[in-house]
Amino acid sequence: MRWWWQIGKCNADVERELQSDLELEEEEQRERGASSEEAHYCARRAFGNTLLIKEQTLEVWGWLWLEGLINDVRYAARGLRRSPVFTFVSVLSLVLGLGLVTGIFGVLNAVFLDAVSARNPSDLRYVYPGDSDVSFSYFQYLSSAKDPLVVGMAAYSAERFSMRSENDVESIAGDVVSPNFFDILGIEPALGRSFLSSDRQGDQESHVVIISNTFWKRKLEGAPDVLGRTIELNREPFTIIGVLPSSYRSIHGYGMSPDLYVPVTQQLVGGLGDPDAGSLQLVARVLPNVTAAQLKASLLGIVQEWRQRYPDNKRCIGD
Amino acid sequence: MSSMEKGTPKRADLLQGTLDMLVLRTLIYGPAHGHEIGKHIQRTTNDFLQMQHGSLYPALHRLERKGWVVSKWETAPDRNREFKYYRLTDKGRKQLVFEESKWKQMSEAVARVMWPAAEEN
Repeated sequence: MRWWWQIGKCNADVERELQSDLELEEEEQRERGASSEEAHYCARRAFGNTLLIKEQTLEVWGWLWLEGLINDVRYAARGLRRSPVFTFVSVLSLVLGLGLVTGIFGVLNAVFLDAVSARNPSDLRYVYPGDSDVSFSYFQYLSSAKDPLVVGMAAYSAERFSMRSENDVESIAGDVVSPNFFDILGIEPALGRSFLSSDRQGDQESHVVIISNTFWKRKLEGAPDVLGRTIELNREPFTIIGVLPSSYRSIHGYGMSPDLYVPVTQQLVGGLGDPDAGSLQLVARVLPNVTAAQLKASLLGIVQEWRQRYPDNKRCIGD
Repeated sequence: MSSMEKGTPKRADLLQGTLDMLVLRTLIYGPAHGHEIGKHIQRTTNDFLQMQHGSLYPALHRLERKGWVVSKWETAPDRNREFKYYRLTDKGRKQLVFEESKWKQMSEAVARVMWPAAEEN
Protein backbone atom coordinates (compact mmCIF):
# COMPACT_ATOMS: atom_id res chain seq x y z
CA MET A 1 0.00 0.00 0.00
CA ARG A 2 2.75 2.42 -0.89
CA TRP A 3 1.39 3.82 -4.10
CA TRP A 4 -0.70 6.73 -2.83
CA TRP A 5 1.99 8.61 -1.04
CA GLN A 6 4.81 7.44 -3.25
CA ILE A 7 4.44 10.17 -5.84
CA GLY A 8 4.94 13.15 -3.55
CA LYS A 9 7.52 11.42 -1.42
CA CYS A 10 9.52 10.32 -4.44
CA ASN A 11 9.66 13.82 -5.84
CA ALA A 12 10.96 15.40 -2.64
CA ASP A 13 13.33 12.51 -2.09
CA VAL A 14 15.04 12.79 -5.47
CA GLU A 15 15.33 16.53 -5.02
CA ARG A 16 16.97 16.11 -1.63
CA GLU A 17 19.28 13.36 -2.83
CA LEU A 18 20.58 15.41 -5.74
CA GLN A 19 20.95 18.49 -3.57
CA SER A 20 22.94 16.70 -0.85
CA ASP A 21 25.25 15.04 -3.37
CA LEU A 22 25.71 18.31 -5.23
CA GLU A 23 26.65 20.07 -2.02
CA LEU A 24 29.10 17.31 -1.22
CA GLU A 25 30.74 17.69 -4.62
CA GLU A 26 31.04 21.42 -3.94
CA GLU A 27 32.59 20.79 -0.54
CA GLU A 28 35.12 18.41 -2.01
CA GLN A 29 36.09 20.95 -4.63
CA ARG A 30 36.65 23.51 -1.88
CA GLU A 31 38.70 21.06 0.14
CA ARG A 32 40.88 20.64 -2.90
CA GLY A 33 41.57 24.34 -2.70
CA ALA A 34 39.02 25.85 -5.04
CA SER A 35 37.45 29.15 -4.13
CA SER A 36 33.83 28.80 -3.09
CA GLU A 37 32.72 30.41 -6.35
CA GLU A 38 34.84 27.99 -8.40
CA ALA A 39 33.63 25.09 -6.30
CA HIS A 40 30.04 26.02 -6.90
CA TYR A 41 30.62 26.36 -10.61
CA CYS A 42 32.60 23.12 -10.94
CA ALA A 43 30.10 21.11 -8.96
CA ARG A 44 27.31 22.37 -11.18
CA ARG A 45 29.28 21.49 -14.27
CA ALA A 46 30.10 18.02 -12.98
CA PHE A 47 26.47 17.33 -12.29
CA GLY A 48 25.06 18.74 -15.47
CA ASN A 49 21.41 19.62 -15.75
CA THR A 50 19.96 18.71 -12.36
CA LEU A 51 16.41 19.31 -13.48
CA LEU A 52 16.87 16.81 -16.30
CA ILE A 53 18.48 14.29 -13.95
CA LYS A 54 15.59 14.67 -11.58
CA GLU A 55 13.14 14.09 -14.39
CA GLN A 56 14.95 11.02 -15.66
CA THR A 57 15.19 9.61 -12.14
CA LEU A 58 11.50 10.16 -11.48
CA GLU A 59 10.69 8.48 -14.78
CA VAL A 60 12.19 5.31 -13.37
CA TRP A 61 9.33 5.19 -10.87
CA GLY A 62 6.91 6.25 -13.57
CA TRP A 63 3.66 4.39 -13.28
CA LEU A 64 4.73 2.43 -10.24
CA TRP A 65 1.91 3.89 -8.18
CA LEU A 66 -0.57 2.65 -10.75
CA GLU A 67 1.04 -0.77 -10.82
CA GLY A 68 0.85 -0.78 -7.05
CA LEU A 69 -2.79 0.17 -7.16
CA ILE A 70 -3.57 -2.56 -9.67
CA ASN A 71 -1.74 -5.07 -7.53
CA ASP A 72 -3.62 -3.97 -4.45
CA VAL A 73 -6.94 -4.27 -6.25
CA ARG A 74 -6.00 -7.67 -7.60
CA TYR A 75 -4.92 -8.81 -4.17
CA ALA A 76 -8.13 -7.55 -2.61
CA ALA A 77 -10.25 -9.20 -5.29
CA ARG A 78 -8.54 -12.53 -4.71
CA GLY A 79 -9.12 -12.24 -0.99
CA LEU A 80 -12.78 -11.40 -1.52
CA ARG A 81 -13.24 -14.34 -3.86
CA ARG A 82 -11.75 -16.67 -1.32
CA SER A 83 -14.23 -15.64 1.38
CA PRO A 84 -17.61 -15.17 -0.30
CA VAL A 85 -19.56 -14.84 2.94
CA PHE A 86 -17.39 -12.01 4.15
CA THR A 87 -17.64 -10.40 0.71
CA PHE A 88 -21.40 -10.75 0.70
CA VAL A 89 -21.78 -9.22 4.15
CA SER A 90 -19.34 -6.38 3.38
CA VAL A 91 -20.98 -5.50 0.09
CA LEU A 92 -24.42 -5.74 1.66
CA SER A 93 -23.50 -3.42 4.51
CA LEU A 94 -21.92 -0.98 2.08
CA VAL A 95 -24.99 -1.04 -0.13
CA LEU A 96 -27.33 -0.60 2.83
CA GLY A 97 -25.12 2.11 4.32
CA LEU A 98 -24.88 4.06 1.09
CA GLY A 99 -28.57 3.59 0.40
CA LEU A 100 -29.44 4.82 3.86
CA VAL A 101 -27.20 7.86 3.61
CA THR A 102 -28.58 8.71 0.18
CA GLY A 103 -32.10 8.24 1.49
CA ILE A 104 -31.48 10.39 4.54
CA PHE A 105 -29.93 13.08 2.42
CA GLY A 106 -32.94 12.95 0.11
CA VAL A 107 -35.24 13.55 3.06
CA LEU A 108 -33.06 16.25 4.62
CA ASN A 109 -32.74 17.94 1.27
CA ALA A 110 -36.50 17.98 0.79
CA VAL A 111 -37.24 19.00 4.38
CA PHE A 112 -34.60 21.60 5.06
CA LEU A 113 -32.94 22.68 1.87
CA ASP A 114 -35.59 22.82 -0.83
CA ALA A 115 -37.46 26.10 -0.71
CA VAL A 116 -41.18 26.13 -1.30
CA SER A 117 -41.99 27.29 -4.82
CA ALA A 118 -43.54 30.73 -4.95
CA ARG A 119 -43.00 34.07 -6.65
CA ASN A 120 -41.98 36.87 -4.22
CA PRO A 121 -42.33 34.67 -1.15
CA SER A 122 -41.62 37.66 1.11
CA ASP A 123 -45.15 38.92 0.43
CA LEU A 124 -46.75 35.62 1.39
CA ARG A 125 -48.14 34.97 4.86
CA TYR A 126 -49.56 31.83 6.36
CA VAL A 127 -52.73 32.69 8.29
CA TYR A 128 -53.39 30.64 11.44
CA PRO A 129 -56.55 30.64 13.53
CA GLY A 130 -55.86 32.26 16.87
CA ASP A 131 -57.68 29.91 19.22
CA SER A 132 -57.61 26.18 19.56
CA ASP A 133 -58.78 25.67 15.97
CA VAL A 134 -56.29 24.30 13.51
CA SER A 135 -58.10 25.20 10.33
CA PHE A 136 -60.60 27.58 8.82
CA SER A 137 -64.07 27.13 7.49
CA TYR A 138 -64.84 28.13 3.96
CA PHE A 139 -66.87 31.05 5.24
CA GLN A 140 -63.93 32.28 7.27
CA TYR A 141 -61.75 32.00 4.20
CA LEU A 142 -64.11 34.05 2.07
CA SER A 143 -64.46 36.82 4.64
CA SER A 144 -60.73 36.89 5.47
CA ALA A 145 -59.91 37.25 1.81
CA LYS A 146 -61.72 40.59 1.85
CA ASP A 147 -59.15 42.08 4.21
CA PRO A 148 -57.87 45.37 2.75
CA LEU A 149 -54.23 44.53 3.39
CA VAL A 150 -54.55 41.34 1.38
CA VAL A 151 -53.98 41.25 -2.37
CA GLY A 152 -55.32 37.74 -2.55
CA MET A 153 -55.83 34.77 -0.34
CA ALA A 154 -55.81 31.11 -1.21
CA ALA A 155 -57.16 28.15 0.73
CA TYR A 156 -55.92 24.61 0.59
CA SER A 157 -56.49 21.36 2.36
CA ALA A 158 -54.46 18.19 2.21
CA GLU A 159 -56.69 15.23 1.40
CA ARG A 160 -56.36 11.68 0.16
CA PHE A 161 -58.13 10.39 -2.91
CA SER A 162 -58.76 6.88 -4.00
CA MET A 163 -57.70 6.55 -7.58
CA ARG A 164 -58.84 3.73 -9.78
CA SER A 165 -56.68 2.67 -12.70
CA GLU A 166 -57.84 -0.45 -14.49
CA ASN A 167 -58.22 -3.06 -11.77
CA ASP A 168 -56.19 -1.24 -9.19
CA VAL A 169 -57.26 1.25 -6.56
CA GLU A 170 -54.69 3.28 -4.72
CA SER A 171 -54.65 6.09 -2.24
CA ILE A 172 -53.22 9.31 -3.64
CA ALA A 173 -52.26 12.46 -1.75
CA GLY A 174 -53.85 15.55 -3.22
CA ASP A 175 -54.65 19.10 -2.26
CA VAL A 176 -58.09 20.56 -2.52
CA VAL A 177 -57.44 24.21 -3.28
CA SER A 178 -59.25 27.44 -4.02
CA PRO A 179 -59.09 28.11 -7.79
CA ASN A 180 -56.76 31.09 -7.27
CA PHE A 181 -54.24 28.89 -5.41
CA PHE A 182 -51.53 28.83 -8.09
CA ASP A 183 -52.13 32.48 -9.00
CA ILE A 184 -51.53 33.55 -5.40
CA LEU A 185 -48.32 31.53 -5.29
CA GLY A 186 -47.32 32.72 -8.74
CA ILE A 187 -46.87 29.27 -10.20
CA GLU A 188 -47.47 28.50 -13.87
CA PRO A 189 -48.04 24.88 -14.88
CA ALA A 190 -45.39 23.44 -17.19
CA LEU A 191 -48.14 22.01 -19.38
CA GLY A 192 -51.70 23.21 -19.80
CA ARG A 193 -53.31 25.87 -17.64
CA SER A 194 -53.97 26.80 -14.05
CA PHE A 195 -57.43 26.80 -12.50
CA LEU A 196 -59.83 29.51 -13.60
CA SER A 197 -62.48 31.06 -11.45
CA SER A 198 -64.90 29.34 -13.81
CA ASP A 199 -63.61 26.05 -12.41
CA ARG A 200 -65.76 27.24 -9.62
CA GLN A 201 -65.99 25.88 -6.21
CA GLY A 202 -69.09 25.45 -4.15
CA ASP A 203 -72.06 23.59 -5.42
CA GLN A 204 -70.86 23.40 -9.03
CA GLU A 205 -68.82 20.30 -9.65
CA SER A 206 -65.98 21.24 -11.97
CA HIS A 207 -64.01 17.98 -12.07
CA VAL A 208 -60.70 19.27 -13.31
CA VAL A 209 -57.30 18.31 -11.93
CA ILE A 210 -53.73 19.62 -12.11
CA ILE A 211 -51.14 16.91 -11.57
CA SER A 212 -47.60 17.01 -10.25
CA ASN A 213 -44.67 16.35 -12.52
CA THR A 214 -43.79 13.22 -10.55
CA PHE A 215 -47.30 11.86 -10.88
CA TRP A 216 -47.28 12.60 -14.61
CA LYS A 217 -44.04 10.69 -15.11
CA ARG A 218 -44.76 7.88 -12.67
CA LYS A 219 -48.39 7.14 -13.44
CA LEU A 220 -48.84 8.45 -16.95
CA GLU A 221 -45.39 7.69 -18.39
CA GLY A 222 -44.89 11.40 -19.03
CA ALA A 223 -47.23 11.21 -22.01
CA PRO A 224 -47.16 14.51 -23.95
CA ASP A 225 -50.87 14.25 -24.83
CA VAL A 226 -51.92 13.96 -21.21
CA LEU A 227 -54.02 17.13 -21.21
CA GLY A 228 -57.70 16.30 -21.60
CA ARG A 229 -57.32 12.76 -20.32
CA THR A 230 -59.46 11.77 -17.39
CA ILE A 231 -58.50 9.97 -14.22
CA GLU A 232 -60.95 8.50 -11.75
CA LEU A 233 -60.75 9.99 -8.27
CA ASN A 234 -63.19 9.00 -5.55
CA ARG A 235 -65.19 7.30 -8.31
CA GLU A 236 -65.61 10.50 -10.30
CA PRO A 237 -63.86 11.32 -13.58
CA PHE A 238 -61.52 14.32 -13.43
CA THR A 239 -60.08 15.94 -16.56
CA ILE A 240 -56.36 16.73 -16.46
CA ILE A 241 -55.88 20.40 -17.37
CA GLY A 242 -52.31 21.00 -16.29
CA VAL A 243 -48.98 19.50 -15.24
CA LEU A 244 -46.79 21.34 -12.70
CA PRO A 245 -43.10 22.01 -13.39
CA SER A 246 -40.66 19.42 -12.03
CA SER A 247 -39.02 22.13 -9.90
CA TYR A 248 -42.29 22.81 -8.06
CA ARG A 249 -42.11 22.30 -4.30
CA SER A 250 -45.40 22.20 -2.45
CA ILE A 251 -46.41 24.90 0.01
CA HIS A 252 -46.65 22.27 2.74
CA GLY A 253 -42.86 22.15 2.84
CA TYR A 254 -41.08 19.36 4.69
CA GLY A 255 -40.82 17.41 1.45
CA MET A 256 -44.55 16.78 1.30
CA SER A 257 -45.56 16.66 -2.32
CA PRO A 258 -49.20 16.08 -3.23
CA ASP A 259 -49.65 14.20 -6.48
CA LEU A 260 -52.56 16.32 -7.65
CA TYR A 261 -54.63 19.44 -7.05
CA VAL A 262 -58.39 19.85 -7.51
CA PRO A 263 -60.56 22.93 -6.93
CA VAL A 264 -62.45 22.96 -3.69
CA THR A 265 -66.01 21.59 -3.86
CA GLN A 266 -68.71 20.80 -1.36
CA GLN A 267 -68.35 17.18 -2.18
CA LEU A 268 -64.63 17.07 -1.58
CA VAL A 269 -64.20 19.00 1.65
CA GLY A 270 -67.73 19.17 2.94
CA GLY A 271 -69.19 21.77 5.23
CA LEU A 272 -68.63 24.59 2.79
CA GLY A 273 -71.77 26.27 3.98
CA ASP A 274 -71.03 25.61 7.65
CA PRO A 275 -69.09 28.41 9.37
CA ASP A 276 -68.28 26.02 12.17
CA ALA A 277 -66.77 23.26 10.05
CA GLY A 278 -63.79 23.31 7.79
CA SER A 279 -60.35 21.99 7.22
CA LEU A 280 -58.81 24.79 5.18
CA GLN A 281 -55.35 26.29 5.57
CA LEU A 282 -54.91 29.83 4.36
CA VAL A 283 -52.08 31.61 2.66
CA ALA A 284 -52.28 35.29 1.83
CA ARG A 285 -50.36 37.52 -0.52
CA VAL A 286 -50.25 40.87 1.24
CA LEU A 287 -49.60 44.38 -0.03
CA PRO A 288 -45.89 45.21 -0.08
CA ASN A 289 -44.31 45.99 3.32
CA VAL A 290 -47.29 44.80 5.35
CA THR A 291 -45.97 43.29 8.56
CA ALA A 292 -47.37 40.23 10.26
CA ALA A 293 -48.56 42.39 13.17
CA GLN A 294 -50.47 44.74 10.85
CA LEU A 295 -52.11 41.82 9.09
CA LYS A 296 -53.04 40.24 12.40
CA ALA A 297 -54.63 43.46 13.70
CA SER A 298 -56.54 43.86 10.46
CA LEU A 299 -57.82 40.28 10.47
CA LEU A 300 -58.88 40.65 14.10
CA GLY A 301 -61.57 43.07 12.96
CA ILE A 302 -62.99 40.41 10.68
CA VAL A 303 -62.85 37.83 13.44
CA GLN A 304 -64.81 40.10 15.76
CA GLU A 305 -67.40 40.55 13.04
CA TRP A 306 -67.80 36.76 12.85
CA ARG A 307 -68.27 36.57 16.56
CA GLN A 308 -70.99 39.21 16.49
CA ARG A 309 -72.82 37.61 13.61
CA TYR A 310 -72.46 34.06 14.82
CA PRO A 311 -72.16 34.26 18.61
CA ASP A 312 -72.71 30.54 19.02
CA ASN A 313 -70.79 29.82 15.83
CA LYS A 314 -73.40 27.33 14.75
CA ARG A 315 -75.43 29.09 12.13
CA CYS A 316 -75.07 28.55 8.47
CA ILE A 317 -73.57 31.07 6.16
CA GLY A 318 -76.75 31.42 4.13
CA ASP A 319 -78.81 32.52 7.12
CA MET B 1 11.77 1.61 -38.51
CA SER B 2 15.34 1.76 -39.75
CA SER B 3 18.01 -0.64 -38.59
CA MET B 4 19.75 2.31 -36.91
CA GLU B 5 16.76 2.98 -34.68
CA LYS B 6 16.41 -0.69 -33.97
CA GLY B 7 20.03 -0.85 -32.87
CA THR B 8 19.91 2.11 -30.51
CA PRO B 9 17.86 0.66 -27.64
CA LYS B 10 19.93 -2.52 -27.67
CA ARG B 11 23.10 -0.57 -27.16
CA ALA B 12 21.47 1.44 -24.40
CA ASP B 13 20.32 -1.81 -22.80
CA LEU B 14 23.83 -3.15 -22.75
CA LEU B 15 25.24 0.00 -21.23
CA GLN B 16 22.46 0.22 -18.74
CA GLY B 17 22.96 -3.38 -17.66
CA THR B 18 26.66 -2.72 -17.31
CA LEU B 19 26.18 0.31 -15.14
CA ASP B 20 23.73 -1.62 -12.95
CA MET B 21 26.35 -4.31 -12.49
CA LEU B 22 29.07 -1.81 -11.61
CA VAL B 23 26.84 -0.13 -9.04
CA LEU B 24 25.89 -3.48 -7.46
CA ARG B 25 29.54 -4.47 -7.37
CA THR B 26 30.50 -1.19 -5.70
CA LEU B 27 27.94 -1.80 -2.96
CA ILE B 28 29.60 -5.11 -2.06
CA TYR B 29 31.97 -3.07 0.12
CA GLY B 30 29.07 -1.69 2.12
CA PRO B 31 26.43 1.02 1.93
CA ALA B 32 27.27 4.13 -0.06
CA HIS B 33 25.51 7.22 -1.32
CA GLY B 34 25.20 8.22 -4.96
CA HIS B 35 28.16 10.54 -4.95
CA GLU B 36 30.45 7.92 -3.40
CA ILE B 37 29.34 5.25 -5.85
CA GLY B 38 29.99 7.52 -8.82
CA LYS B 39 33.35 8.62 -7.47
CA HIS B 40 34.37 5.04 -6.71
CA ILE B 41 33.65 3.77 -10.23
CA GLN B 42 35.42 6.76 -11.73
CA ARG B 43 38.52 6.37 -9.54
CA THR B 44 38.73 2.59 -9.92
CA THR B 45 38.70 2.84 -13.71
CA ASN B 46 41.32 5.61 -13.53
CA ASP B 47 38.73 8.07 -14.77
CA PHE B 48 38.14 5.93 -17.85
CA LEU B 49 34.47 5.78 -16.99
CA GLN B 50 33.31 9.33 -16.39
CA MET B 51 30.25 9.05 -14.24
CA GLN B 52 27.28 10.75 -15.84
CA HIS B 53 24.94 11.84 -13.10
CA GLY B 54 22.13 11.68 -15.62
CA SER B 55 22.71 7.91 -15.82
CA LEU B 56 23.76 7.24 -12.23
CA TYR B 57 20.70 8.48 -10.36
CA PRO B 58 18.14 6.85 -12.65
CA ALA B 59 20.18 3.63 -12.34
CA LEU B 60 20.16 3.80 -8.53
CA HIS B 61 16.41 4.30 -8.47
CA ARG B 62 15.89 1.53 -11.01
CA LEU B 63 17.88 -0.86 -8.82
CA GLU B 64 15.85 0.21 -5.80
CA ARG B 65 12.63 -0.32 -7.70
CA LYS B 66 13.71 -3.82 -8.67
CA GLY B 67 14.48 -4.52 -5.03
CA TRP B 68 18.18 -5.10 -5.59
CA VAL B 69 19.12 -2.23 -3.28
CA VAL B 70 17.35 -0.42 -0.48
CA SER B 71 17.91 3.21 0.43
CA LYS B 72 17.94 5.06 3.70
CA TRP B 73 18.81 8.56 4.78
CA GLU B 74 21.74 8.34 7.17
CA THR B 75 24.28 10.73 8.61
CA ALA B 76 27.68 10.48 7.00
CA PRO B 77 30.35 9.67 9.59
CA ASP B 78 32.72 12.39 8.39
CA ARG B 79 30.26 15.07 7.33
CA ASN B 80 27.59 15.40 10.05
CA ARG B 81 24.98 15.63 7.31
CA GLU B 82 22.46 13.14 5.98
CA PHE B 83 22.94 11.38 2.69
CA LYS B 84 20.85 8.82 0.94
CA TYR B 85 22.69 5.56 1.43
CA TYR B 86 22.11 2.57 -0.80
CA ARG B 87 22.54 -0.94 0.56
CA LEU B 88 22.72 -4.21 -1.36
CA THR B 89 19.89 -6.71 -0.72
CA ASP B 90 20.09 -10.50 -0.98
CA LYS B 91 18.16 -10.24 -4.20
CA GLY B 92 20.73 -7.70 -5.41
CA ARG B 93 23.58 -10.02 -4.47
CA LYS B 94 22.06 -12.82 -6.56
CA GLN B 95 21.53 -10.42 -9.42
CA LEU B 96 25.17 -9.36 -9.21
CA VAL B 97 26.29 -13.00 -9.54
CA PHE B 98 24.01 -13.41 -12.54
CA GLU B 99 25.17 -10.17 -14.20
CA GLU B 100 28.77 -11.07 -13.56
CA SER B 101 28.52 -14.49 -15.22
CA LYS B 102 26.60 -12.95 -18.13
CA TRP B 103 29.31 -10.31 -18.52
CA LYS B 104 32.03 -12.94 -18.37
CA GLN B 105 30.35 -14.99 -21.09
CA MET B 106 29.93 -11.89 -23.18
CA SER B 107 33.50 -10.70 -22.84
CA GLU B 108 34.86 -14.23 -23.47
CA ALA B 109 32.74 -14.52 -26.60
CA VAL B 110 33.92 -11.12 -27.79
CA ALA B 111 37.52 -12.08 -26.98
CA ARG B 112 37.30 -15.31 -28.99
CA VAL B 113 36.26 -13.37 -32.05
CA MET B 114 38.70 -10.54 -31.56
CA TRP B 115 41.80 -12.48 -30.55
CA PRO B 116 41.56 -16.03 -31.88
CA ALA B 117 45.34 -16.50 -31.70
CA ALA B 118 45.47 -15.65 -28.06
CA GLU B 119 42.79 -18.27 -27.43
CA GLU B 120 44.91 -20.93 -29.19
CA ASN B 121 47.93 -20.13 -27.10
